Amino acid sequence: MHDFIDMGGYGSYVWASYAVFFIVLALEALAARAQRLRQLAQVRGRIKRTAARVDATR
Amino acid sequence: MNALTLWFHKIGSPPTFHRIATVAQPWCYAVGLVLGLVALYGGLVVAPRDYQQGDAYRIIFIHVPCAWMGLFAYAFMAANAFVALVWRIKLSEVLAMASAPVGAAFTFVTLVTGSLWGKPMWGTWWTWDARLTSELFLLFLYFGVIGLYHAIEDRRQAARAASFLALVGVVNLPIVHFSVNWWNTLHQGSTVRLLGPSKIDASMAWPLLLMALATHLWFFGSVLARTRAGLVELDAGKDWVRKLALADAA
Repeated sequence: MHDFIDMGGYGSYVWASYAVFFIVLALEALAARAQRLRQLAQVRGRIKRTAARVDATR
Repeated sequence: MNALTLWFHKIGSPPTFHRIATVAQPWCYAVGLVLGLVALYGGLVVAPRDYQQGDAYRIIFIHVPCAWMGLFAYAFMAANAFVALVWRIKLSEVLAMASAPVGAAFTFVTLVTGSLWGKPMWGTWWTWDARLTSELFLLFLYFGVIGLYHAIEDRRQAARAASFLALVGVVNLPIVHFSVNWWNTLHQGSTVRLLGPSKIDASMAWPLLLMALATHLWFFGSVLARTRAGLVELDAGKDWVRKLALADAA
């Protein structure tokens, strides 16, 4: 197990690389999801505002 | 219209494509993740130690697939940009703009992992050789496309302007790919080749190719997610988007 983590002395370089890989790709996927939810929320907000305006003029 | 054109128009219509993307996206992510984990096991545990670089070479299993994805994403973006500019297809505009941030993420990982590999093997984090410089330029091209797209108010005009920039930047793709042949670089030449025999042993090749497949799937997962967002934004006033937004809240 220790050998696996040590990677023949290159552990810090190898594991840092894999960490960057996972963190960046995970953040990118989360950002993509957040963007989609934000757009949908904006559409809902617009629907609500339009409905409120219709109510106010009634 | 013949059957094929009709089919093409149907697929390309925002509500239809959104429906397909909604089904396909989680599969792309899930299969990509599973294949990626198998490839990681193969690369970190099963594959033997390199006789020259020891265990440091294991960075290859993410560095090379990410580098391929950086180029693939750019080609995918440029192809869609071309269709968007010539035929003004809405979906192509959205697809092109959706692939830019994903490609930028892969290019960024390529540069960082390359740097982390360069330090123990070359003795330096960075050098201005042709491969590294052209790869950095690729990242800046992505930033340019993303920046231009966000600098213009009208979404469709913005997409067309950014698409034009993306097309101009295509000239950098062969430069990145052939830089190791055209110039005398510190960066090594191609290890895996489509034409001719690869210079890598099968025990190391399979995790590499499997990871390449996994990153492709992950790329399409994210592109589909961003495309869904883009289609919702473009068609915000349309009936299908209103229904979708209200259904999503429930």
